[in-house]
Amino acid sequence: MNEPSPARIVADSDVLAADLLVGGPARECLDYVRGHSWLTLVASDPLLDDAESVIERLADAGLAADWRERIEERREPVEQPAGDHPALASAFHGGAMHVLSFDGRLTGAMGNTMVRDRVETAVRTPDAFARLFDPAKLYPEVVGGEYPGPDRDPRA
Amino acid sequence: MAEPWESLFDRATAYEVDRAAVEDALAEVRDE
Repeated sequence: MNEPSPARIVADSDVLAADLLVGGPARECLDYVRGHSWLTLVASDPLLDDAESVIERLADAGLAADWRERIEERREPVEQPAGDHPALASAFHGGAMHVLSFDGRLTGAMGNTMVRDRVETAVRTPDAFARLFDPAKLYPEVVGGEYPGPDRDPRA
Repeated sequence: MAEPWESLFDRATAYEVDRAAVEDALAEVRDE
């Protein structure tokens, strides 16, 4: 199990699929992760399996497979017990202090209280995360020194 | 080498998916 870190982020399967298929705040959030090598996207296999299934249903199997190949290069894998919620289990076992989800059951006050009983994390919608998250403020704490800006092309 | 994100995003636009469809599809996947 990893030490909790504000630089470790979980995107629920709906956010991962929306990043690819919809854009908007989901893509804005994932662009943060893709654009900064010191931010880590934590994801269990079941989390990616669910997102891949959504992409296959709404687009096609080829796009889903190519997305899986691409996301595998960026995510840090984490083991999770079968049957646990993939996003919460990824955060718990992967030390992620941010969970992004569109699921109101997770992002609401009750959901966050339930989550905090088990995990030192906050669950937010991508809209809220995009408003609040500031890599320039986090950089001195996580890496040290002055924030140099994104160090990777988020669309490469 | 995996396909660049920009190229994947370009391919995805053809499907004109909205967020509600993504949420519904994930609910179906997780119910199965």
